[in-house]
Amino acid sequence: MRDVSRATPWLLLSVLLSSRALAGDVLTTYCVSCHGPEKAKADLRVDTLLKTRVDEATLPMWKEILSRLETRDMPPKDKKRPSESEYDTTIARIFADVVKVETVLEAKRPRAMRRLNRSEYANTIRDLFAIDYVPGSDFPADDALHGFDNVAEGLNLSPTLVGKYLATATQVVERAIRIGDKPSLRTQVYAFEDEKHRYADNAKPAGLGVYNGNAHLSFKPANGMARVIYIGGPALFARQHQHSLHRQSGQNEGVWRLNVRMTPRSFPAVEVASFTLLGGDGRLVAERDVRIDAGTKEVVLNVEAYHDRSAEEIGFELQWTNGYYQNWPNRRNPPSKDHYQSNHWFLYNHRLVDGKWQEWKPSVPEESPFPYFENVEFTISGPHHDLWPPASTQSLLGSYLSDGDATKVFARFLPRAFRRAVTATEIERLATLVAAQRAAGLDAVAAMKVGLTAALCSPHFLFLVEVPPATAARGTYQLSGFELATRLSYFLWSSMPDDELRALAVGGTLGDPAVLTKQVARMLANSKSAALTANFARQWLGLDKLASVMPEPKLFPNYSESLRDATRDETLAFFREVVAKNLPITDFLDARWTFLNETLAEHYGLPAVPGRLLQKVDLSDARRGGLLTQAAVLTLTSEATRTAPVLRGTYLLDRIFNRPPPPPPPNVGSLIPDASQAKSVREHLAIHRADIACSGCHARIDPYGLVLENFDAVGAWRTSEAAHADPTKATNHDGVKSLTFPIDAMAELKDGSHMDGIAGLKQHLLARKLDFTRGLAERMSVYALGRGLLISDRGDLDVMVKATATDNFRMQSLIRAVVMSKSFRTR
Amino acid sequence: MNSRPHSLRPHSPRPLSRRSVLRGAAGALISLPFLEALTSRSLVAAEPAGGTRPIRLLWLHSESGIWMPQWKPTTTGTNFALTPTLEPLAPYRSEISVLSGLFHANAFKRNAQAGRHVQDGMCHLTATDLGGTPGVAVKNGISVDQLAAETIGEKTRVPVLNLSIDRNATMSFSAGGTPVPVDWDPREIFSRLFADNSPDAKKLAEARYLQQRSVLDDVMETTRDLSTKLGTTDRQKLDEYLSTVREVERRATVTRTWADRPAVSAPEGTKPPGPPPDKDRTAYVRLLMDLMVLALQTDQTRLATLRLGFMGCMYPDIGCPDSYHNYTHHDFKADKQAAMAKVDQHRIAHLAYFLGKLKAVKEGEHDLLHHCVIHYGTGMGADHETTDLANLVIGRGGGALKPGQHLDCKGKPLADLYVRMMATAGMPIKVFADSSGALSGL
Repeated sequence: MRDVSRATPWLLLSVLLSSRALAGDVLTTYCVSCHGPEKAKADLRVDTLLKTRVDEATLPMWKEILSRLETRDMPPKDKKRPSESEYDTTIARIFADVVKVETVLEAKRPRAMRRLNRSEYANTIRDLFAIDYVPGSDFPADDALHGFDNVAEGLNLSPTLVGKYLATATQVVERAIRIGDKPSLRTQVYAFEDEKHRYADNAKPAGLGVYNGNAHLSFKPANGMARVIYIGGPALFARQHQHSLHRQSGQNEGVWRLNVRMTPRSFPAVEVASFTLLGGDGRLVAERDVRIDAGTKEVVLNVEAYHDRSAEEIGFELQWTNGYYQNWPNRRNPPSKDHYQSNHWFLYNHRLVDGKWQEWKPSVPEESPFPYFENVEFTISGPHHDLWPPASTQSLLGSYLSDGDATKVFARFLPRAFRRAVTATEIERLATLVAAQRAAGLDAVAAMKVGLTAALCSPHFLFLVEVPPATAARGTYQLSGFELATRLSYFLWSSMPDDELRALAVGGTLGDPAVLTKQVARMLANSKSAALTANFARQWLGLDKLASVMPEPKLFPNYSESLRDATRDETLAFFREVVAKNLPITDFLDARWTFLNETLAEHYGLPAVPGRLLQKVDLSDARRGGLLTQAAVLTLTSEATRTAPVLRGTYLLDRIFNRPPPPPPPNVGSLIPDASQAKSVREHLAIHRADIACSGCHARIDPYGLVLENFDAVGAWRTSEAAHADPTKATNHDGVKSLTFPIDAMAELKDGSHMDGIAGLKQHLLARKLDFTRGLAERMSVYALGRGLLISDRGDLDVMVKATATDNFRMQSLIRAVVMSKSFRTR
Repeated sequence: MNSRPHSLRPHSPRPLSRRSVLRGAAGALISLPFLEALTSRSLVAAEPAGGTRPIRLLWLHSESGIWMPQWKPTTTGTNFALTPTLEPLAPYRSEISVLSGLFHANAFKRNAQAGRHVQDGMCHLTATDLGGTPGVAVKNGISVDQLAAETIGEKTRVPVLNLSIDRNATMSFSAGGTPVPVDWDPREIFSRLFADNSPDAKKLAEARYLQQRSVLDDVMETTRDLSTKLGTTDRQKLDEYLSTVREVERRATVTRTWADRPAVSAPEGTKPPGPPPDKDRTAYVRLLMDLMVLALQTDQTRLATLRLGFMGCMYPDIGCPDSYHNYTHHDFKADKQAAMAKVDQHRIAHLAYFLGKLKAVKEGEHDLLHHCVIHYGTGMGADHETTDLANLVIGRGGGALKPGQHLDCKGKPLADLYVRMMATAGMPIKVFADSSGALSGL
């Protein structure tokens, strides 16, 4: 993700320089010959620029010059260049002027107010009403600015969105207030008592309310042979077929539970069976790994899931996932089109015989050498309501149903919804609205729903409102306790403050450093801090892009959806562990541990980790460890058919150091290989770098990608590269001749030092851990503040880096430093 | 819908074949009677109030490119020969123009986040450089259908009808680049077009309108109060919220005025459709096309878009079991190229079906097709590039266009065509995205 504004020159400087030598002499000596009256390359005239001071109009040009000098991109290597001290003094002089101008400009810039983004809205509703309903899935996606979708200026408003706010508020209130008769609890049992003969009997839907579907039981034996057997009848899922009757009435709304019992048969000594359970709406409910050995008499699974009133189906779907699809020899080609067309193709059993897949139907499972389950029984029950009316309704309405006093409702509700103390006028206004609705003929509950809808569309709910005095200059207003509590909880939880934070805000002690420290630790220990991973880490590392990568299946036949999910989850789990265990952030650069499951361990060529669930494992293999060795990162920085060192290098500069290289000039394409010759990616790049127009930036970018060349385009380890005459069309199959190059992962940095492969890179990164700390502190500050960084934030960032370094680079010390910073506590 | 768990369709939730199977089975049953229900008696468009027939603008999108060698006619001008892919359009040859050489530059700009296929859908009607906003990885602009709706949308009950067989795949974006959700459920589309105008339904709608109005009034008042407490630098977003809420209220009021106008019922004999026939794509696409025809002939809308699929679409029913996208990575293999062409022709057959329906609706001395300008296009060429796109312009725009030719547009921006379409419908919009003016020679 390119972000021009993050590349402001002060950020490119790690130290404030004080020398005030004349910059003009140096620039005149070294730059004007190309950027002057004779040539004016890139439309830049340094000579005319020097005649004016740095001002608003010339600021962008000066920033560009600064950036080029700082990275030593200019003057080009083949031209006469300033000495190092000339570079430094010139940079310092320009920088001082730029800071002055920027500071004045910043004070004038609008301070945008943050509105809740989609996930913050959903989390806030969850915590405000204590309901399971997840709203916002139909909101238009929020734009990411400065790399994050919670940056105030990027959070646009549109009539579509406001229309959704209105409709969603109504939906939320409908679910929060549930009165009337308690919906009856219903229980249904589905038994598969004789499934051993049913596998071939797909034409007839099996009895007992079981319908066709893709649930399947299949199995991959431990020896890695992908033998498959389908046992369990045409469908092993069950559902309540009552939606058409009750869909609108809310009779099905609530938590439903599933109990599964089944008897394992023919299992080898020890095996881990992985199950995925989906709810009736298709959402993932649970993933379970079950260890089964010869002595296991029964497998029992218990899960529960909320089903909304709008759910088209109530029920669950069980999948036994470590088999069958995952091991299909060519997953893109089902057995035949007839099978696929009828949607029954998964019913056919295949096994590997002499390397070929053959259809195979065992006459009875008893003859089968493969594990299977029998006596499968599903028990579905719901909707479960421990309290009626539900707690959400009771705490919201209180005594309203008997006394009809709307002011009491709003006096309780508004301080939580608006995240602050409210005035009597505010309460009265909504109570009046409710009264007017009643006068217009609505009953008490319907009128209250209108009032609550209005509260949920109020800017006090939808925006993180901070009210500095109208005259306060930027950065001079100390946030109130409530405002600070709100910033804190949207930073760490992406949701509203809880009772404890609100109490501290009322008491006025939240700003106390000791209190804040304690609160940060408490909040990070709370499960709601998963939002920091889901929102901050996901965007920091650009993981969304994984959803749209499509490695060429012929070249990477093992890249499946389950592998992709595992790679993404590895990186997210890694981040979460660093936060939860307060590990040093240098673990992001190199670590002796990671999270793996069966699929991922196999992909990495590491010792087996049975099951689908990720487990923390110690790494003895130094080739892995740290973000840059993780398949998610390596895949999203590759092209479909090959690695892309430029993307990897850019990613590293951008995500690790927060110093993205400038965008390529217009009309420069990506690596377009010379079709007449087969070359390695490295050779192609070398040609690219030889072009003087490209060399400035690419000398900085490419080394970081080249040292990662041992990782292929999906992050698997390799020692050679198959290169093709035309990599974009490359297939390594069907007789297309390819050349194989041994991987050379050596690279020379601009300063002349060398890195060799991933080991060299790790060493280099650890040596630059302060730069990484700064990069991460900047990224995290953008996310915490919900705005782009300013010149005036630089003092805070220095403090953050120092505080983190002093505490052995521990993650929570960085988070604490962000929260303690002046920027975070003022507006 | 694709049910195989390995499918890598972007933004797809966990695959759920079971539901599609059920829905598909039911949908296929229900859609067919509906298709047959358009009796000859119903094939007359509503008489326009002012006497002149409105011009309708339609955009149909076919994703992931096209196999160009079987698409592109070898000669330009009016005497071009129909290529194999275009063959199904033979009955309508005089109504179509093939446009070659339109360039879609912004859809081909490298974007750090949006890949070629995301760009395919996002840029098709916006022609916007997604990476063109500093600091934002992906930011779209307004799409041509929404821009047109700003001008003529309020003349009809439904300003613009955005349909897709994939519920997640919109290609319409409002000003500021906000995605506009698509309609995909035939039942909902039908009820949007032919709302229940019974007195009870009207009363309910009016009550809802009044409730919504009290909420919006309260919100506007609260917003104004808060705004006065803030300095000018903090106020901006709030003022934006206020004006947006005002716009929502204005639109609600416009919608309400429609409630007072005479109800439009579906043509006699039309049965309301059932759920989407997810599994039978042909039935699904044609059902949506039927609904478009219904909407146009009853003048419930004058603008519509239809996205025929998404990149993972498979066509096992015509012997192409792999995804179309997979075929587009053809590796110079004849069988895959043939499969591409086969799917292309299959899609063109859908278009022919649609044209047939439009042509069957009489409008004055002409037919509905005569008063349409339809763009059928792919956002990519044969190999994911955008330098030579497959584009058709169909219909006469009430007589303004002279179709029946193969025109080489010589690298003009695709947006020029959109400007020309809007001009044909009387919209004085001169600038759109990277357009250089209205495309001439049509």
